Amino acid sequence: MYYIKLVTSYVIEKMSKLETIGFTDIPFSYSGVPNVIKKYKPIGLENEINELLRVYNIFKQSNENILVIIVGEYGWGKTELLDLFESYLTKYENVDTLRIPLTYGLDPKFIINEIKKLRKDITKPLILLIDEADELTRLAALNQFIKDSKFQEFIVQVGTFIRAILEPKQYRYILGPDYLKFIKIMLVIAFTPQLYYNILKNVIPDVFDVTRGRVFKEIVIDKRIPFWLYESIVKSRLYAYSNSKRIELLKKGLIDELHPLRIEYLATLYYLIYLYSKGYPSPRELIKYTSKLFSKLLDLGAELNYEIFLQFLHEVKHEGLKINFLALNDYVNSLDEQLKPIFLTIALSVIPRSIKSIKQELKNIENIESKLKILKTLNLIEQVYVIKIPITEIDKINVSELTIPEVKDLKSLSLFPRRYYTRLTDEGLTIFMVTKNLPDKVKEFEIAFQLTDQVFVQVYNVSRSGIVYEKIRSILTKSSEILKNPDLLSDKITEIVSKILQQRKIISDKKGNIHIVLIENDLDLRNLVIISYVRDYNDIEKLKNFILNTVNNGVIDIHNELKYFDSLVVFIVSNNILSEEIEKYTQELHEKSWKIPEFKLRDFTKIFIYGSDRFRELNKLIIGYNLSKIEELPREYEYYLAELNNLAKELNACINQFREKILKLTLGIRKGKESKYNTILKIIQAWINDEELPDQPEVFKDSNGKAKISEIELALYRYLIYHDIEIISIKELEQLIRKLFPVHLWREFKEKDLIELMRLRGLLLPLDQKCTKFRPFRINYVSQYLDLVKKIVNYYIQLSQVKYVVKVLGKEIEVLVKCYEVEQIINDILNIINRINNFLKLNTGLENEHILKQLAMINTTLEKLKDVYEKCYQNISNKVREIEVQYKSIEDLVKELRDKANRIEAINIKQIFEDQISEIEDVIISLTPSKIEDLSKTEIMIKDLKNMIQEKINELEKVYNIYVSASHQVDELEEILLLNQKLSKIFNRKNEVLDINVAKNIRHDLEILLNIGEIELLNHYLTDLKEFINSIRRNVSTYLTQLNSICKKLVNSYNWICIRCRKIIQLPKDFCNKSIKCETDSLDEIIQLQEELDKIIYKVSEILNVDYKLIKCISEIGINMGIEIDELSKCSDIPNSKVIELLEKLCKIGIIEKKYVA
Amino acid sequence: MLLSNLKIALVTKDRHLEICNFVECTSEIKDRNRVVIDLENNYKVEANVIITPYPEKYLDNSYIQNRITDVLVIDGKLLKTLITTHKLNNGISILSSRSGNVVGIYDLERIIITAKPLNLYLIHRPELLIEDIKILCNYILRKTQLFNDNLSKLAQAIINHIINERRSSKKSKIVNILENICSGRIEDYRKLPTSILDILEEMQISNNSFLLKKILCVVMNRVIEYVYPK
Repeated sequence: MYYIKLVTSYVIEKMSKLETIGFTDIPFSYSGVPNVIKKYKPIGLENEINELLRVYNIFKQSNENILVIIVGEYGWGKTELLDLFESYLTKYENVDTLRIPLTYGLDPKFIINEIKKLRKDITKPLILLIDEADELTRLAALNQFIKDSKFQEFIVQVGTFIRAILEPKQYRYILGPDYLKFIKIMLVIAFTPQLYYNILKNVIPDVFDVTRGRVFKEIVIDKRIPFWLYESIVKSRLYAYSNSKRIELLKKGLIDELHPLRIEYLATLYYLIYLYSKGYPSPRELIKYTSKLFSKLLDLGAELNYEIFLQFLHEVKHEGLKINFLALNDYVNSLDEQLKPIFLTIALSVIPRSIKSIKQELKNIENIESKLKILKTLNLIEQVYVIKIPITEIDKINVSELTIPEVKDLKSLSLFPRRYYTRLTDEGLTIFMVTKNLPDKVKEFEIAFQLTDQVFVQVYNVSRSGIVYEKIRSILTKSSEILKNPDLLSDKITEIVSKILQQRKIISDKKGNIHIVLIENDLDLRNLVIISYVRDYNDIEKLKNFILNTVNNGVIDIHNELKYFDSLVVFIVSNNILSEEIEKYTQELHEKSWKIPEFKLRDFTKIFIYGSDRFRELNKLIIGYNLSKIEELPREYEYYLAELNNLAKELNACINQFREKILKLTLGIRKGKESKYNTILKIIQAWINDEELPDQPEVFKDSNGKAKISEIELALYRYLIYHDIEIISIKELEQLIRKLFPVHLWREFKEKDLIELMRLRGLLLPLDQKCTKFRPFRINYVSQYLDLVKKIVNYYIQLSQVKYVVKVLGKEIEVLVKCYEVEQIINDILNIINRINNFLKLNTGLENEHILKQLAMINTTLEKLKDVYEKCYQNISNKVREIEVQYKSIEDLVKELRDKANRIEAINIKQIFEDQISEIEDVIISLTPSKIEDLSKTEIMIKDLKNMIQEKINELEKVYNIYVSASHQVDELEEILLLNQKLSKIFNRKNEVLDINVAKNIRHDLEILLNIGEIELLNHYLTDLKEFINSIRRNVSTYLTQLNSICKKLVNSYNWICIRCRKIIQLPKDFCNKSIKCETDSLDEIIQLQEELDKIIYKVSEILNVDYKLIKCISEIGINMGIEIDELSKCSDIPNSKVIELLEKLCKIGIIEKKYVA
Repeated sequence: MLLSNLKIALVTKDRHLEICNFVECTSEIKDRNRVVIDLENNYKVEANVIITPYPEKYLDNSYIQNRITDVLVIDGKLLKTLITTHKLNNGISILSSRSGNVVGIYDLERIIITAKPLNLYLIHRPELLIEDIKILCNYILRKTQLFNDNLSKLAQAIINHIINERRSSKKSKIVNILENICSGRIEDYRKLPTSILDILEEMQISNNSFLLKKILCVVMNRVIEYVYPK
């Protein structure tokens, strides 16, 4: 409830405010679309409505069904035009009208039924007005919608419906049995250009085309809304919605028609929208912003003034309408408070302000004149004169200083700040010229003020506007100079052409009085432009010759550089020969041939002739071009652009034609991951076998998709034949290709690729092996070419046998290598050669293509041969290298072995090793033949050899290891034997002693075994040897444990002798000074002592004549030791009685003492 | 010669070494029924089987080709204590070294084997050596037995022929041929009947004229002894 209250109170408030400022309703809809209840009359659609009425009149007379299309952008007034037309019809004509919006999904049957309902009297014409709802255009703009089948269906339905209405008889099945109700219908449909041109014309051309289709007339709504039109739209709308109070005030002249708006600020608003929309403000935009401004006034309940307008500008600055607030504020802030309002009123108006208008706005400010003076001296504003010129009187005024805009059509006159503006006054359209200097002739004027150039430029962000007219003036005056000077003219035409073609890569040169311009483009045609200023027929003749020569050469020398071109545009200018005459003279050119015999010059050449009669057009063209460079070109000069646009249209059209033709001369291949060369081979292969070529461009295929010779190859071939070229070098051929075809547009394809392609096909027959020279295919050249092929084949036969030299252990081995695959292919080729020769001999009238295919077969096989040879050769050299490596590794092994052998110390074993190694070397040499013919066998052989040698080496290695361990063992054996020997001596076991020679014998055994190299045997032997050594060692250790007791006895004996026997025998000198150690390392001393003692005891026993053994036993007991008779008897092996007897004897001698004898 | 009676004697430079309980130790070296390992360079011994590294003592040069040390593998067993020393040429081969060289021959009187024991086994674990010699003897006895069988077969064949011939003529042709061959008069043994040639072929001696002559002589003596007993 509260909300409703709020809304109602808001509406009531607004309505009351409207009332106070004098309106019954809001004159401008906020969204810019026409108001629902329209109280105003649309302005500015006069031309369009007139055209519509003309069509209507024709329709009235003929009674035929008719279709009129209105084309206009969003917000350009399509709906308003239909409104106008409808209101006119209902007012003045006796017709039925039916207005239907065309929305997406609209069922045509609905319309048909509506029409049927309406048509009671079929003599009364029916005007069917269909207004496209913009949603269709929006849908179309979403590209995917075009592809949407529903949308397409709908479009087709619309088309069918329209056709049905236009031709009811043919479409009875749609319209039903009462189809006769569908006569005398005028169908007016309004579309946006997006929908009409982009979709409908393409999808349903049988309906929507003026020339071919069923459209009687297309009415394109003029885009332009000049300022005066805008002002009058605003005025009429304000008037239409005025209440009686406002009308009264108007009548009294108390307010002007724009009240509460102001012409100055509306001009600024218009100008800002004009800038924003790049010169084409749409009515919808204009109305939308006017409405915003108006509603602001409504809110404030005030008249428009600089403050409100400034606020408004602030509000809309984000929508694209902007002035430079920063600059403006800088100026404003620098001013005194009193000066600010005055400055702002002037600054915010793009048209000069009279004192009167300033006073009207700033009612409270006094002394405006003096303040204006201050601003003037501050150089912020300037005083100008505004001269009012009604359009009807424009011809009467002849003031050159004013540069009055040219009046071509009224809509081109609008507003141009600081120069002029237009308004609709009682005198009709009136131009208000603004000038700083008052011309003498002018009597009526108004003084007004505007910003100085400098300030204006900054505030409105426009840099050039002030200078534009200066520029235009100079352009207009200079054009005649250009026309007189051929060089300047040529340059200008060059510029124009390049501008039209939007090309920048331009090279120009001059040959006599002929100017040449080459427009190069890596992605498009290379266009040659020839511009010639002809004075007489001689000049024309020269030009003709020049053109013909250039075309024949196919290249042109520009600054000493040869350049190629794809098309030619000629400009012939003359100020003393009529265009018609020039044309007559140059007509024959068109029929001359263009590069390739089947093309004519006219296919790729366009000649523009500007004779004396067309000189004015040329002038206009040049002016138009120069003007086109000016941004924000004033409307009134736009008509100059027409000539330029015409030329552009014509030039672009013919370039498009050329392009279409040139594109047919382009080649390309799709190679994917394959190499280009392989792709070409595939193309050839498919052609030979009459197969399809699914992956390649159309140019290589016939209509059935099967491979064929491309047109380009044929064209080049025909060229060669046509010009009777016998022999051509590859360089010349490449140049020729560049000359004839747009090589730069070829995709993945170069001149030499084309040559290669044609060579493989047999269309070009090489004269030498390296393919430096060619001749075009002719039957009588074939056998000569076959001879060359044979030569090549022979060459490969020679190549297919290769000799290598490999070094093995200083021996050189020749490796002979043959490629068997190569031989196979060579046989294939020779077979084809024979076949062709047979054809030629029989001369069976075979088609050339058949022979070509045979040649191609040879060529592709030759390629394969090269390929296979390369691979084979590579393979072989790899293998040979491998063999070398293998041999090297064998040599290394042998060397390693030798090093090992050198480590062996025993000469015999070393010899055995060396013998083995030499044997290995012998094996290598003997197994390696001096010539190797079959590589694969060699490989196997080497492998076996290596294995064998490796085995041998492993064996030797094992043997070596065994040798090392064996020699250790033998050393050990020697040591232990020596010890054993000594100990045996000490223990008096001489019979058991193993000869020291045993070690020698064992060494000998080992030598033999090593020589045999039988590992098992060796190991076995070594185990046994170890066992043997151990057994000796056991023996030795037994001895050693007993060594002490033996040694003790020995020491006793020694001591005994030294003490007891001194008297009996003379002992050797120092004999008794010995210190005796009972240790293993003094075995030799022990043995020596034992021997010495034995000798002494022996002597003693001789002297005393006592048994040696007994003395020995006594001595062993030691000095001062008790002597047991039994023991002694046992030890000496003498019976007890005898022992006692002998002891007695010894006692007497004094060698023993009786007290010790038990 | 039976294996159970086998006596092994070792003849070395210094002494006759009794090497094991198997051996009947004897200083009498003229007993033929034994195996002698003859490592002595100077004087010959008499035995049915002689194992020696000095074959020149028993065979003339035509038998001895060259020195080759090798091993013996008998019935798949590697003999670890014996090493062969020479490659022999003629004679009835009864023993080959592992690499296929003939190292033992039978000259219809005795068996000579060119080999020597490894020194180690003469002084350490001689039972290994004896074991090897047993294996070796076993083998060569089998071989000689086979040869002797063939020889008997040959003799029997010749006898059969002679008996056949005697029925028709006074003097046997075969005997004549054999006599010629043995007495050194040139005669082509191919004149012998095919059945005899086949046996010679089987014995693998037909392409060795020296051996052929020797064998044919032996056979002839036996035959004559049998056919014409005194």
